[in-house]
Amino acid sequence: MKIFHFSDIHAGSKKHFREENLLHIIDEINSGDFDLAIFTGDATNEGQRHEYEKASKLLKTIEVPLVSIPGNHDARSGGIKLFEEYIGQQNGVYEFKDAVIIYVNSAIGDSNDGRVGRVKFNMLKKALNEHSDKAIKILAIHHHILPIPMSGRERNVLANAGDLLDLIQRSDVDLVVSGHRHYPNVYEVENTVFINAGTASSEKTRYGDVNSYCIIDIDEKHKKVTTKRLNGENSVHDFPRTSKRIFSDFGNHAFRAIQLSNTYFSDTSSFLSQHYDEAVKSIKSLDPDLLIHCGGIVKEGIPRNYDSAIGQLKKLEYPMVFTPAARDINYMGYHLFNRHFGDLDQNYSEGDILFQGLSTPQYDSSIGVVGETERKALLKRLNNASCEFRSVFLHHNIIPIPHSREKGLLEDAGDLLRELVDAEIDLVLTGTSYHAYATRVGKTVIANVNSISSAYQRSRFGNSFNLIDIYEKAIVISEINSFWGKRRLLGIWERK
Amino acid sequence: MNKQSQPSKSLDIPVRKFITKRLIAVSKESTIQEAAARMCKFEISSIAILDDEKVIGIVTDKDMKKRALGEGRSPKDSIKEIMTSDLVTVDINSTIKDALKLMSKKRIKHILISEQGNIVGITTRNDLEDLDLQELETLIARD
Repeated sequence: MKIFHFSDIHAGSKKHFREENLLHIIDEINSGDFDLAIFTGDATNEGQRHEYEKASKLLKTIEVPLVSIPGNHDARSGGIKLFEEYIGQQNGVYEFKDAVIIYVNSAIGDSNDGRVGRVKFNMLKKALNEHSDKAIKILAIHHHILPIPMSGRERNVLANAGDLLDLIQRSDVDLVVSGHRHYPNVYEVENTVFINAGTASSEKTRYGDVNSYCIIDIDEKHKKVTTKRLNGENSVHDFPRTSKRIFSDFGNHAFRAIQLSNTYFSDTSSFLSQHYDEAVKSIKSLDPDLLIHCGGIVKEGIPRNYDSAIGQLKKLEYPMVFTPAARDINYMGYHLFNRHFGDLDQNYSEGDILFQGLSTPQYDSSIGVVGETERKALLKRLNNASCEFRSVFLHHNIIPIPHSREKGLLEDAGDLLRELVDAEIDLVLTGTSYHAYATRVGKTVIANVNSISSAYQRSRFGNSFNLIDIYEKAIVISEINSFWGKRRLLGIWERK
Repeated sequence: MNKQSQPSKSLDIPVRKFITKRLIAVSKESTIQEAAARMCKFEISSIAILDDEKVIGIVTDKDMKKRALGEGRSPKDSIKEIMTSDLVTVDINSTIKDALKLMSKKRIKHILISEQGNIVGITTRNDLEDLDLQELETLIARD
C-alpha cells in the first residue's frame, strides 16, 4: 500500500501561500501510483471563505482517494463550519482494502492548542476496537503527539497527548500522521511510526527549511517512510512491522537500578511516611546497585524539609544520584540542594554503564528547560563517554505521560528527544506527572516514574517506584507499588 | 458514539489492549530449577517454553507444585517433563468475553495470545478480572 501524506498547505494567504509548490505536489500525487492521499490539516491560514474556496479547488484536483482533517488555522474565525462545506467531514473512519484510517479533528476554535475531547476520544477508542483486526491501522490528527525538533518552545501540543499515546500503543496503531509544526519528523515508538510531514506550501518553515511531504510504503513486513523536500533532498526510514516480543535469552545480569521521584519529604501529610518506609523495605530486598532520584525530593525547598530528607534518606544505604525538580530549588532550595546533595548535574558510572543527570527546572516555574548550550554540552559528554550503556536522568518528561495534562513539558523537549534518540542513548529516566510509563522511541527506552511517597499521584496502581534491570541483551523495567510491593512489568526491550 | 460508564461493554474490547505484548520464556533445554528461578526473578505465574523461537509449551505455578514437587521430580529434570504442550491460544483480536469463555471451558487460568498464528503474549484470569479499573486508564481524556 502506498500513501501520499502532506500537510499545512495554508491556501489563500497571499503572504505565506506558495501555490506553485502545492501544484507541484498535486502533480506528483496524480502522476504516481498512490493508493490514497492523506492531508493532515491547515487547509487555510485564517479559516476565511476565500481561503477555503482556494483550498477546495486545489484539493479537488487530486485524483486518488483523499482523507482530510482540519487544523488549528482552519478553526480560526469560526472557519470550522466552512471546513465541512468546502473540504469534508471533521472526523471519521475511512476503510480502504485491508487498512483503516481513523481521522480526528484536534483543533480548538481560535486557539493554537489541540485537544481530543472526551466524546471524540471515546469515538476513537470505539473505532480502534471495532477495527482491531485490520492489517493496517492509521490515525490522522493535526497536532503532533510527540514533541517536534527545531520548533523552539514546546507548546501548542495536545492537552491529552499522554492518554492518546497510551491508546495508540495499546491498540497497535501502525502509523500516526500529523502536521502542525512545519518541520518534517519521523519517530518509531514501539511498533507505531509517528510521521510529521512538515508544510507542503507555506512560506513559514522552521530554520530556513523548504516545503516537504512524505511517501509511505507499507506491506506485511515493513513500513517505509520517505520524507521528500522540494529541494530534492530525501530521507528514508525503514521500520519492521513488529519487534521482538518473546524473551528467553537475557544474557548476564549487568546492573540493577531503582528509579524514584517525588518523595516529597516534609512534615506535612503530603509526605506518606508509611508508604516510604514500606518502599524502603522493598528496595532493601531488591538490593540495587544504584538509586536514581528524578526530582521532587522535598515538598518545597526550605531548610526543615531538607533536614527531613537527610534523615529519611539515611534509611537507604545505597549509592544515590539526584536531579532536582522545581520544588527542590524553590525558596532556599538552590543553596540547600547544593549543600546537601552536591552538583545539579550529577553522574554515576560503573564499568561500561553511565548514568548522566540533567538539571531542567526553572526557579518558580513548573515548566522545564535545558537550553541549547547545556544540551550541546550534554551530548558532547555522552558522545565522548566510552561507556557501552548510556543513560540520562532528568525530572521533566520528554514524551507525554498518560493521565496527565501536557503542561509540565520541557520548553525544548523536541530538540532534546531528537538528539537523544539520534545519539542512540540507551535509557532516559524522568520523574514527573505522577504516573509510571515506559516505552521505546527509536532505540532509546524512556521510562517515567510515579511518585514513591507523595499524596499526589495519578495511577490506580498507587504510589510506586521503578525497578530497572540491565542485562547483557535486554533492559527490563517493572513498576513496584510502594506500599504492598506488588510488581507489574512495564516492558522488556532488546539492547541495541 | 459510545456512552461512558458501561462496565459490561469492556468485555467486548479486543484482548490486544490489555496485554503487555511481551512474553518471558526459557528454552526447552532448561531444567525445572532454571525455569522456576526465572519465574521468581520476574515474579510471573507462568513461563513459556521455546524451541528455537517457537513456543512449544507453557508451565504455570500450579504445574510447578503439582507436576514437579507433587510428583517428586528432580529440579534437574527437563522443563519439558512438566510443561503443557497442548497450547490453548486466543487471537489478539478476540474480545475479552471470548477469552474468558474459552478459559472457563478449558478450565485454565492462563491463556496465550496469538497474532497471525504467532504467539505474542499471555494473559491471566487475574489480569482480566482487573479490567474495569485498567479500562479507566485510557477512558479519561482531560479537557
